[in-house]
Amino acid sequence: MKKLFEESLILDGAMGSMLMELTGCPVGFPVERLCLENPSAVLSVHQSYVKAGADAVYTNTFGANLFKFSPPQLKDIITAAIDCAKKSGARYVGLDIGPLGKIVGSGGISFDEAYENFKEIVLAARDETDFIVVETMTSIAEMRAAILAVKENSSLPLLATMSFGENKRTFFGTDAKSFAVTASSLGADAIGANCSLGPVQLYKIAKDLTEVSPVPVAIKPNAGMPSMAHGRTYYDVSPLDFALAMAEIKKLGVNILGGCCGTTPEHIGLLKEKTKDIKADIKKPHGIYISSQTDALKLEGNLICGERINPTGKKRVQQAALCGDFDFLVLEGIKQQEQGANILDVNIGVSGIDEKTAMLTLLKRLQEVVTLPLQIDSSKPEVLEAALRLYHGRAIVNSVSGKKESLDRVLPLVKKYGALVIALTMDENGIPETAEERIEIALNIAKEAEKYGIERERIIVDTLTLAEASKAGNALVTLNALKLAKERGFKTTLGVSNISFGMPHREDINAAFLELAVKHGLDIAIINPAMRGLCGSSEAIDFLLSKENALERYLSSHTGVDAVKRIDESNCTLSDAIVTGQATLSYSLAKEIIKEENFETLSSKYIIPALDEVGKLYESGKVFLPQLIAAADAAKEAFRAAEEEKGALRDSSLGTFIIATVKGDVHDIGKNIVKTIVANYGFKVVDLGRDVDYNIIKNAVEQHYPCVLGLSALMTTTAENMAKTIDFVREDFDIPILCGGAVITQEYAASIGGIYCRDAGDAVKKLKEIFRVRQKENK
Amino acid sequence: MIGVEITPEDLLNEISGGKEPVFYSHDKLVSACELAMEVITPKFAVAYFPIAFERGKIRVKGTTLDFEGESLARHLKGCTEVALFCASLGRSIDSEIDKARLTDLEFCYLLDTAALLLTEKLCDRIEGIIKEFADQNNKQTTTRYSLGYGDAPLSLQAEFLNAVSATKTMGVLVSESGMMLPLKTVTAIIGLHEKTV
Repeated sequence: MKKLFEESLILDGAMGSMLMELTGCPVGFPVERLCLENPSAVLSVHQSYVKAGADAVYTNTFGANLFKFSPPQLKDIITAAIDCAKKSGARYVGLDIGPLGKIVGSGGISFDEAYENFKEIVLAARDETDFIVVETMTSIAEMRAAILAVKENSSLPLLATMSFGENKRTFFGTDAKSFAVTASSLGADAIGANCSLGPVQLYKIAKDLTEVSPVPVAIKPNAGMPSMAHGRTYYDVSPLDFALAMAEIKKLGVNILGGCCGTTPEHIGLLKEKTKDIKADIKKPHGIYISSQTDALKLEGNLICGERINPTGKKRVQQAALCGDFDFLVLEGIKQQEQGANILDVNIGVSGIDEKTAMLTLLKRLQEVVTLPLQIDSSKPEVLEAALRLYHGRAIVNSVSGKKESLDRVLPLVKKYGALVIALTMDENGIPETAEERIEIALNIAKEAEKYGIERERIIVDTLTLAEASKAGNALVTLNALKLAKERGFKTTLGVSNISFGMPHREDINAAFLELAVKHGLDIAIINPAMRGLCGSSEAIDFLLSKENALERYLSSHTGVDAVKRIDESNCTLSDAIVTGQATLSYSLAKEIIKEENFETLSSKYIIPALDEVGKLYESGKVFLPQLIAAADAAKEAFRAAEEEKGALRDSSLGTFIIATVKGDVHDIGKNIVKTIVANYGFKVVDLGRDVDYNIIKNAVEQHYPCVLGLSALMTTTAENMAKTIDFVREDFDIPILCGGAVITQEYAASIGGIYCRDAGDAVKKLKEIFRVRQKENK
Repeated sequence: MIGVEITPEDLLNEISGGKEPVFYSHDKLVSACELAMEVITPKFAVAYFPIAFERGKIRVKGTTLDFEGESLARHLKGCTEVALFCASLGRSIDSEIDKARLTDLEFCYLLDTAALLLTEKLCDRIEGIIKEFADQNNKQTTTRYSLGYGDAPLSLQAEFLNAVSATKTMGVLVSESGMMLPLKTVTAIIGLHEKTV
């Protein structure tokens, strides 16, 4: 049965518009109900397509889901729909699953809720069709939930199709190639595009899909572009033009063809006739791809995998992971993308946290703003599994080793989620000392992977970088192993910067090692992308190649060369720089001042007066919100400079302020302004983010008690959730709660037991008052 | 796609209510306008339906929509038809604002304000199209009215989007709390009535 999609197939055309035409039901009427209320109408549409030459028809269940129907209704509709489709005499019947009509992710339903909904549809159909089709999706998150629901609850072949715009992306930004890579690797037996555009516009999308898809491709366009008049949608491509355009698409290697909105039996009839003599030449794609939820990446050339989201040896990242400072970690992702990384390694393994929950939060946040494919890095298989399930692209798993336990636990996950995997050349006996032995381990991993059906092209061999300072010759073993791995057809990767551990001027050695590794066949360098383009010195290269006296020459070439960065001479004081919002200047001036002063003086003498001054200018209408924010950012930079210079964090013991945008609301610019300004005044700010569940807020209050809570809401509907949050928190904690946001008024805040804050300055004033009172009470 | 533009002066005017701040970054205003105009993909959907006032409700014929609320009824008094429209700047601008939130909060605020201005301009253009349609049919239009104003319930948003096919043709979705995604999206109702002398 899995061969079904390898035939040349003609699918049916539009169902909803045909039924509306036939029955006169109004716009917005759930046409799935007609399977029960007017089955003969549904049957007649199916029959008209079969008569016209369709090999397969979709059941009339596009919008049949638990958000529209009760469970018994859903079951009845699906049963009746399958019955109608089967009675039509079609060779094949496909269970049709459309989008749930909900946002999957931030502000909407969770991935798991979407999965459960699709699962109910699949179970209700009891595998009584010949195949299942998930179609017209625009969110890859929703598509993945549907694919997993089908693969885990049915044995039928699956066709997965999405809708793309003229920019070759879905409304949510997924492009055709990344969809093809993601869906096929997750187990779709055929993939394709339907709806949204006409056949002429879909040609270029069909081309992209056939270029990267390892499974058959289906195209089901509309009868042209829609236009609306008198409450009806009209399409402008005639049946003949439709069929001729589809013939061109078939020549690309697309063997499954049909029609979507606006197409009629006449379109399908001519489609059959005009394409019957054309052979769809299905080509297997060249190369191997990974993808994010928006873009696919072919693993070719020298690629950079950003290493900075990893707590190992990085204090600031450790601290961010421990405090749940996801903003910092996500910002590291954004910066690495800007610095030219092609892939991002994501590791949040630090003791003392729930790594799985932290990884899922970080992935969710990263995927909202970073478009690079991710490399999921954890030593815990349960963390890998949870991350692979939630990640909306095709990931690289970092990593599996030659140890039996690792092979047994990691490879099944790689298989199930269609990922690529980094193979560490080490096993129960540790890291071999020779290049040949390391490659033996790589070959053994590949052999084990093959048993799971994981092809060699999906294995990326890491020949392991060990510090050259710990033993001369380490670099050469790694490089030689790299060359051998390449000769055996593996993709390769290395964590580059380990090489310089224990040495001065590590960047020089790292750059030199990178250069050498690329020459030996390195495909993916796991490095800090900021070092991309740097060249290693000849001394560093000689050191790595274990040349005579190279270590001494390297060390002598790097003594006394500390460049002193001179700050641009200017009459501008730190306070001026902050008031006028010059972040870079503020950073460099603070760096100088802190050499002579302590945090307290820097803050009380320069930063706070500057913030007070700009606050006054704001209140008197001489500057506006952008200038206030710029000043706050400049102050933040000054503190950052001081913290870097002192190697310690400043005191933020004035009091703890927890801040969140309430459940159901994703607007958070205002909240972030408050957060930045309040933190500058010396309060410890715990930012819980946006669309925050009641329980998370209460747990944070418990963890940080005594504290003050700040809640933000921008919509009238979510202001109600602010009231609910306050009631829920107050069940256990009698703490002051500040309320702000566009729709919040003094009266409303008072009515729900909150303290109204007009803006960030007002929040600072109120926090000062609250904590001052509290300090007096304590005394 | 439909073109909409704003200038740095428009943006400055919006953030400072027409006054000139004592200092500000003109470059950032320019960048915010440029980036906003580069990444938006303005789209809209309009549909015209006859209406009937029945038992305190406004029936939108040919759809499953029934509007409730006295303020909307007052707004549509004398109208025989409505134009329902949905306008959106697309998802990319949301994502850029989100990114700027972490990289540069000042720029984020400017970008968000630029996007709001562009949404307003887009709505103005659509209103113009509807007025032209009304004029051709010898009719006049009311001003725009959005769900959530007065006593018109936000809970009808999903059905509204369905009626103009905005979910299907523009990818607009609505959350349980009534929030539409993309965030820079507006729906509105414009009444059409016979021309008065």
